[in-house]
Amino acid sequence: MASKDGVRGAIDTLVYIFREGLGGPRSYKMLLAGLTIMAIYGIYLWVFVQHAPVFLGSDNGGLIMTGVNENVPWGLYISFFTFWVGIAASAVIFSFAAYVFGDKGFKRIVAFAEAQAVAALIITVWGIVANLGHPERALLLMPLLPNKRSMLDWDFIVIFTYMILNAIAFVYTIHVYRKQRKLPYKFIVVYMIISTPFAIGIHTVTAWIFHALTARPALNTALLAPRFIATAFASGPALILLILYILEWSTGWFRVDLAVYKKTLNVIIIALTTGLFFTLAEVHEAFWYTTEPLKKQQLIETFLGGHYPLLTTLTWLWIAFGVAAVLLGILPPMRNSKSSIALISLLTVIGVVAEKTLATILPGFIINPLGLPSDYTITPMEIFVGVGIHATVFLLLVILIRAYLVTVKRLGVDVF
Amino acid sequence: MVESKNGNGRKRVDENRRTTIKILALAAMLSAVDVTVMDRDVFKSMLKKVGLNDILGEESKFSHPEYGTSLEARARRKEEELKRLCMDAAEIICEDKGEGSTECSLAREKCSKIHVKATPPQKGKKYAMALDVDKCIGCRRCEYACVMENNTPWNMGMDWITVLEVSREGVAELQDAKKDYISAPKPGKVYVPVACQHCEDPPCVHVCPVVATWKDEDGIVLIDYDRCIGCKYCVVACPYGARRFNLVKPKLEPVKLNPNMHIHGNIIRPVHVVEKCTWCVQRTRDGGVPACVEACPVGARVFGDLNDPESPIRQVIDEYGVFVLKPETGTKPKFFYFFGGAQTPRRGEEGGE
Repeated sequence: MASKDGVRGAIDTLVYIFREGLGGPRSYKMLLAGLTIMAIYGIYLWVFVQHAPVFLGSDNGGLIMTGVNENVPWGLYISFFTFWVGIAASAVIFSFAAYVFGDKGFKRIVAFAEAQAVAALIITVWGIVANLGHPERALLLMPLLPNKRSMLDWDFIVIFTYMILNAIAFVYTIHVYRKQRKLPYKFIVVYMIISTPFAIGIHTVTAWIFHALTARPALNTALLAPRFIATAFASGPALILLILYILEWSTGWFRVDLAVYKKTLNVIIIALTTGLFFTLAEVHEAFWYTTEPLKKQQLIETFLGGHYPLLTTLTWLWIAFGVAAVLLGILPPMRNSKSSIALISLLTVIGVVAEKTLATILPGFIINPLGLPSDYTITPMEIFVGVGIHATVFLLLVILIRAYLVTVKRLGVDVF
Repeated sequence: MVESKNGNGRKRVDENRRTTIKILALAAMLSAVDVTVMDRDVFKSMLKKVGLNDILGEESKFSHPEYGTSLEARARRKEEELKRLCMDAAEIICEDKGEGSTECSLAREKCSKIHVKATPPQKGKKYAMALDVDKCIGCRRCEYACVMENNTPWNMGMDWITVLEVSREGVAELQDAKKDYISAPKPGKVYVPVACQHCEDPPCVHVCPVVATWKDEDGIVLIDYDRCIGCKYCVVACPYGARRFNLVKPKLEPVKLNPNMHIHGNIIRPVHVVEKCTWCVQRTRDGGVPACVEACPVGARVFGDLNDPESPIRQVIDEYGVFVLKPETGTKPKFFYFFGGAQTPRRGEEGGE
């Protein structure tokens, strides 16, 4: 792909991205510094405190410092993983609109979706690694894919492939725009053909990690993967719209057509409605007649409440915010201004964060396979390590976005 | 597809349409490739029906690691290391309690006795365990014996056996069971100890991304603690809640140590790995029975070789018939429960609690 310019061109572009991304006004540098501090603190906690027995061989520390226990083996880290995988998968909506349907407005912003996908996938991988007992062994064993029946191995393939594809697309886009050229048609075709199945694939495989386990009846539903994709296609575009809205407000010169907002809003509304419908279908299955006792117990815990109120709160937060976003989104006056669309996007993101994180995985864990109630307390360690992971990745995202914006501003010709 | 405002709009729409079709075709092809990459035999076995006669199990279809010189060498290395660590801990005890104390001499004796085995499964054996629910009094002595035998991390309060108290009246659902009962045995209650069920089709083995756990030829599901990456996927997958995770570094206590160790069994575990009941592989592969069977005061547990018609487990199956926990999960457990008929008298019946 970069054959004309060779490896040197690619390296040049990478250097360019980081040079442009790191420079900027004072307030921007303050933002970078703040994110760096949070990132370093989070990584420090992870390496030197939480995983100290593994990395340093010390006697103290360990995953006991997180809320994870024998009944809730996966907690906040895996929650991030499920949520951000969805965000990454939704980049395909923008590349479809831009490259397949050839929408000019979307061509301008598709690079944001690619950058967001790269960032999101780094969070997902890091979320898994932070939750791993022995990351150093995983690095040796996972690339060999020893067990092809394990969905984690398949997840490893699809996530890394999709991450690399999006990184290539983003860097190449900047590379081409920097030279004041259009993206070559050949590249677009090849990229779309390879990346589209992987976009759906990452989220499907992620749902399949949970759904084929008879041990966790609340997750053991074939609707899990469709539900994941539906909410992913709502939250990902919503997050992009929020980013665009913030960029328009903060840069002062960057403008996106209202048409782009409107079209994206349509996708959000359709995806949200589908997601809510899937939730309704699950409620019907569990409560209308009878079902497996353990499943019923887990879903009662999820929807009606029990010993773990946080789960019920999050579930109803999703339903309330989801319904609110859909209702507001179909009102004509709300569809005609960027700020109201941004508001709907915010509602969507909050609703899906509530649903996709703890409310997705905890129903399977909060009543353990033997029917005993179990607890999960989020600890400060988990929160700080999580914040650190997010800060690191947002740092990268901010740098990528700035590099793209600078490139677009310098464009002398219309390349879209 | 609505971009037709510019001059050559017609051509562009066509191009786009063609691209879309191409993309969809290639996407379909790629997804087909994904399926065929999987081994055909593996795929077939996934679709296999569960046979009724699965109690006398089939040949194990899982790959298991080599038992041989390399594992033996690893066991020797582990033994050296453990002896060294144990002696260090013993010296601290000796300094604390005095050179002549019983603790000191016991600790030193146990440390010097540490032996890490790497015994392979015996050919032709197929182990199973059964538990008489009528006899069990819920005393949790099996739990205690298990912890003592298997060097289970004391600093985590971990145990491999969970004893559930279930009501005898009405339909017994696991969901109504109690784990933290205080007094037993009570009238009107049955006690159901649950540990690893050593399933024929263990979900934990299917999901392990690095094949750190497997089902051996003699039917025991084991874990390689040096290979486990600690992803806890197996903990998520186990329908019996039998797997435990070392959230902290297990503490080595020489006085309580059981020096008879197996490298895949009760060896002192590293931090952040998964562990579970191994049917005391360090005993059973040398012809013994698990510690819980030996410790049970009412003889509720039966352990034996399914392939041997004379074994106690076969007699139980022939005489009483057995049932398994959660048959709907399709895991085909090799841990059976049965009602022997002869009830151990409950406390209430012998003159009040």
